[in-house]
Amino acid sequence: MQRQEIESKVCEVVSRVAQFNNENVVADSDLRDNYGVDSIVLVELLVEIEDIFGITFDSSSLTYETFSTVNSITDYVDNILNS
Amino acid sequence: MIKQMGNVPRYFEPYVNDCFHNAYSAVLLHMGMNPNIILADYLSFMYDCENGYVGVNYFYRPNTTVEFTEDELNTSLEFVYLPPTTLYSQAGVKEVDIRYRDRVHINMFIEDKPDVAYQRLKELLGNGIPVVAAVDLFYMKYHRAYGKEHGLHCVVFTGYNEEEGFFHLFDKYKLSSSDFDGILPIDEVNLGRMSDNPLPGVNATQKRPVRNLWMEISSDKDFKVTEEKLLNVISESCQRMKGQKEVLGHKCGLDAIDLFSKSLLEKKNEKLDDEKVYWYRVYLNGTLKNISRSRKRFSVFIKEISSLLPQQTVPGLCVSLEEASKHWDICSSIALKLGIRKSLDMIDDLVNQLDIIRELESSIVERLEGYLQGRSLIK
Repeated sequence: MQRQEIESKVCEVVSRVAQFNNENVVADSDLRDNYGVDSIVLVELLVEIEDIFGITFDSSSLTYETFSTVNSITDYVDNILNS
Repeated sequence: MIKQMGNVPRYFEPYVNDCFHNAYSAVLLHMGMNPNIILADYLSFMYDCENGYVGVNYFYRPNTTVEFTEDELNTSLEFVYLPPTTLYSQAGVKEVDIRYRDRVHINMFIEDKPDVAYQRLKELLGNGIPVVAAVDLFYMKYHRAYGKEHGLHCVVFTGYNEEEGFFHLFDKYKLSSSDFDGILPIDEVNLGRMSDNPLPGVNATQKRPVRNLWMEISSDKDFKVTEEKLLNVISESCQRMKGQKEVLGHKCGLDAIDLFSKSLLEKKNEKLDDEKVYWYRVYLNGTLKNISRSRKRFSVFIKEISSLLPQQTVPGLCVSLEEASKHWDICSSIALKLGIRKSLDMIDDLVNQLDIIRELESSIVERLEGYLQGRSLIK
């Protein structure tokens, strides 16, 4: 799967769970500040992404420090699917 | 009557664990005190294997009351004394009685006669005293829970205007999506102050009535922060973490982390019913997040007292505390994911994180204890 396709699917999920600005999800914008994705929503979002791509996020990566933007999630998924 | 104070600091720090402390901090700043010191807590951890409750210096448990005993209220906070919750209309002395000169007193008052509670609130505001009081968010127009969900929450009242019928108040506790600073109708807020406040969770019939709860904060005119008491926060932390002191009849610290790990591993073979899913997904997720913040908060305290500590130890201690905080945060996320997936295999991941935390926090305590021994301050 191309990176662009992964990013587009991640944006779709973020757009669905965002508390605001959900029509304008930008890949390098902070998820908490720009879309109201708090720590609970972040984990729910990652679980949904696991199901979409058939992957499992390493438990030690389940922090806001690791996944604060669409880009960081996309990089992680891309690395698993395409490396 | 119109009264309003314009000089109460609006306070929010993301390492402050609950709305009570966040609101107290604003009032403490208004009193000229440093909340990073006054509300500094001991480094610890508690686990009760009987009922699954965890905590730092007391257990986080769903309460059905706002009434607490003196013992329950005073297991944490070196610089604060909390008398037992008092029914205001039955209180012998209406003014705060200073029992400990070396502690700030936070008196929790409840009152089931709304008019009496309202009069007291006006009296305090009229005397230029900002007031921390509890409300049910169901009645707070600015909050996303308004008209949908109940929840006891603390706000800071800074004034009132009876002619136009509104309170001046603020709520800066952004961790619960609050960021309000303005006016709200007196009638509506008073409904929030006397709400029955039904509790969320598996048992939907439980309530935690707000009972017009408010707090009056005061201190002796000669109160001061002493080096002895600052260092006692460190000393007490070492004792609790090393299991040398029981709190509410429970061993704390590193032994409690071991007990928590062992107990989690025993749960791997249990059947997951709704109550257990709720424990992981909601209870552990929220409480482990609180513990994560408490480590950040302790790091802030260490920075505040850095002039008392050997300069070369402070950065290393703060890095370790931040690291411990990160791993408690990961534990919180794993608990949530476990609850969503209903996958008990994830308990292994949780225990792995607890092993890392145990090592980090053991090293933190060793360094703190080494410093105290150097100063002959070990009790």
